[in-house]
Amino acid sequence: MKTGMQKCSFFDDATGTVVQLNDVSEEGEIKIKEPLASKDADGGERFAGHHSRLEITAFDDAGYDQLKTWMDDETPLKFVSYGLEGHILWYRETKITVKKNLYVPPGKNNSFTVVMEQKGGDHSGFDGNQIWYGKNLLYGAAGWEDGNSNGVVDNYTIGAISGSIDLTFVGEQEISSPTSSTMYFYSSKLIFPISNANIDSFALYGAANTYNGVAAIEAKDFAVGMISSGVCAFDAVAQFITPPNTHYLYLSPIAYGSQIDIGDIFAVSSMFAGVSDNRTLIKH
Amino acid sequence: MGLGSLSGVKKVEYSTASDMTGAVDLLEPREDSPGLKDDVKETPLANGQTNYAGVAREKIYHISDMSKFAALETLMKANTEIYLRVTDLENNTEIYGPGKPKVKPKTNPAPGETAYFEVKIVWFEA
Repeated sequence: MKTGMQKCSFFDDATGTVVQLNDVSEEGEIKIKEPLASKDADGGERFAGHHSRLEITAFDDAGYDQLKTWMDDETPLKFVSYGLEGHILWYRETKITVKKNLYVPPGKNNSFTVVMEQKGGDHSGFDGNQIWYGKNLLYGAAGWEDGNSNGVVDNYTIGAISGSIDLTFVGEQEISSPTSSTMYFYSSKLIFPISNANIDSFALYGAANTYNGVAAIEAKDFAVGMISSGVCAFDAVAQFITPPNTHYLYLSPIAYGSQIDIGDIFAVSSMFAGVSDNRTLIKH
Repeated sequence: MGLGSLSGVKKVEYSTASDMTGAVDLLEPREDSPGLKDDVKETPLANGQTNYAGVAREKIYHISDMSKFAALETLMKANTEIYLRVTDLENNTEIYGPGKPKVKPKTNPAPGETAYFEVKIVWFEA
């Protein structure tokens, strides 16, 4: 099964220990949020939870020993992948099994296979416990809605460094100010411990927007220490290669310290992180 | 791959209303969509014939527009029934259902392919 998966990582989010696999075989199985169903008496079916399963086979020389230790210790793990088309965020802590594939026929390579499976329960949402597949990593991690109706898009942080700002959310995050203020607007951490991944990022702004500065992306390690950062020019797409020891990505549609004056309206309609150089709204 | 049973389907829409009020357009389905599956039930008779005993119906489409997945997933988790309206190239339409939708993403497409999700409804007609 050719999956388009380029790299993936299994990791213990309690310790920050990561096993990154860079030579993923086409063999294996990927199921993300397949619905389970109970039969109704009238011949229909009722939703009864999700079934997600990963069976990843890799040719990497390293990583097996740590994976086996985790299996033996029953350590619950998380998983992320980076693909040609889409990516997986498996944030629900799940135990794994791993086995070696040795003495293979001529023309084949030795490998090892990791299985991670969760049957039942609701795997959707943006509560840090989700299992998700899609194109926009930031949307998969944070969503783009104001579920608690407080005028601030959920899983993002917006605030004034100086002065004060007013916030409303109507599909777009709108920011205005009764004075001249400076502000910040950044996403919650996107847990993505994959190094050497080429990430495209861009922000989309609404029709009323007056902001014309840069967007930003930062890679931080498990201790939330800055490793490197990049900027995206207004109305452009930035390319950012995740450095070694990346554990988190933080994205800012409005650069830290941007000034917002009376009469300004900063209107952000979304932010993207993934593989795409086409600046369109991608909420999946 | 041949055209199969999906020849000429140019649009699939869904709605929670039988009159398709507020229908959401899922656009044209993929060619590899299974389409309509009918499992006709029969009761054997002593004279060698059978009586019709209803039909278990499934309607399955593969949809490329991934932005439509989340709303259908919400309906699925709420066990809300939907109707599907299928339109062909000659603008003939047919409404199927109602049935509780089941949606699942087809993940990690191979190089050269694109992601899509499957939407299925199952219902029984007496």
